[in-house]
Amino acid sequence: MTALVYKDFYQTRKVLIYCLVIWAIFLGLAMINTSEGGVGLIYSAGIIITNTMLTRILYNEERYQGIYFMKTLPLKSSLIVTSKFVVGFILSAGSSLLVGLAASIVCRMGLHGLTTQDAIGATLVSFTFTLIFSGFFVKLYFAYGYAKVAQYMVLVTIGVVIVLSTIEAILKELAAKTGAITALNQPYWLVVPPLIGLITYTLCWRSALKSFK
Amino acid sequence: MIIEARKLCKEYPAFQLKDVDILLPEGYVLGLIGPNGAGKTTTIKLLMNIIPPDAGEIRLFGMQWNEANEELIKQEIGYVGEEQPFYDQMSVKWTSNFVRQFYPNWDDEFYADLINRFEIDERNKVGDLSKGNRVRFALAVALAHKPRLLILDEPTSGLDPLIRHEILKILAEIISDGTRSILFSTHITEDLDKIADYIVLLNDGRVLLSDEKDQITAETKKVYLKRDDFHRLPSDLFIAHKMISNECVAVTTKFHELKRAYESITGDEPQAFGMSLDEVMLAYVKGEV
Repeated sequence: MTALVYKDFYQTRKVLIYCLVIWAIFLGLAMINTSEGGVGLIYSAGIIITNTMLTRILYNEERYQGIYFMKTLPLKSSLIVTSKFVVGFILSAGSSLLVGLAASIVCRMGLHGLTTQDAIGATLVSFTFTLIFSGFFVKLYFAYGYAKVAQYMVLVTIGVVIVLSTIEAILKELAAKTGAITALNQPYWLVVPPLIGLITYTLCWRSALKSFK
Repeated sequence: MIIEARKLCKEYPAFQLKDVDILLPEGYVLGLIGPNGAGKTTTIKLLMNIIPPDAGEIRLFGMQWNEANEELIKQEIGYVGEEQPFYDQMSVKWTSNFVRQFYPNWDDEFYADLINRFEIDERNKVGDLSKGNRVRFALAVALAHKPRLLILDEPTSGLDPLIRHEILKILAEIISDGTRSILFSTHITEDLDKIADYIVLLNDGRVLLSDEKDQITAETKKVYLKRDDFHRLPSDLFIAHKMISNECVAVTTKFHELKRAYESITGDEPQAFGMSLDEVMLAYVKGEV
């Protein structure tokens, strides 16, 4: 497992550096740009990093017939699938930590009116979103191959955004109607999105294990 | 049996592999031959569990492919494909280091010997290797863990005769101890004339011929007959024939039966000639003499 995960990161080490540079640029821009767009840059860094890295890793597998190569080696099929989901998880967690780090820096500098809870919230929301994104990306990759995934992932991403936003809106509306809006603003609600993300990710992984032959 | 595959079927929109049987005892070389598109690579992918069969049963080293056995079986296999999948942007050294982690029996010394013998610079990227060196490298990687079964899918395709000769020499060395087996798929049947013990001929997804090579050589002959004599013999003795005025050139797969029948009709022995595997394949697949 470690060898397979390490392989993916080693092969894309240059892209990883490129992603870190993008993150640094976004952080710099967020410090300069005090409008709402500045904060948006920080929040979007997570998905940009995850997408860029995952796309490159799966593209490499497609280009060099990596899955075929691994299937000639003494590796269980389930290990091949699981290793990609581990990579996706590391990317989601790592990129979300970068989002959290950037939000904390901005918060410390007193910019954009961000609080510590906002920084934690940004980290967790980014983690949720990137996790769901990675889960679908890897699952669809094993089901349909890179070309189709690359073609349809934008639609999947838009779909995920719409579904998550709708759930959030419905919850807020329900909470407002039932007078439970203060409960929704409690810190413990922050763990709900990552939980949804983890459940979705696990379902994608299980589904990929079943469909991958 | 090292390989025991029965009634293998696989269906694609434009191709169907049907009821393919492959049997390979320990210590022997099986040549899988057939024209391009016959189903050789599909058969090998099924045997390697790279793709699942629609029907049929596969046992390697007496074990069936399943999640529990997958790793165990592949520990005993060395695989070289026609277009060996490697990460082209990585170096030869990185690739061998990556692969060796999965084989507890990997022999560093043996691998180094092979790499030196093949004169491959490990600092090169795999993608920069020539076709010949890529096959040599794939062979070194496939042999370094001393597999009991070597599966070769058209490894000599597109290589010059010198490299092909070198590869065949190495394969002959490998099987010399009688404990290793080779499944060698190729459309260059000349390679198999030298090393194969068994032959399976595939065409259009079906097995046309499956037998010991010596048996094929002994029974499949090109015979020259008189036109009248040819017509007096049972037609099921021949798989191809060509009439040239009063003469007939025919290919029989039952030479001894033909000989007896011919002798009873004419009192003479038929004029017969041995055939190369290439000629046998042509007669079976195209019906050409």
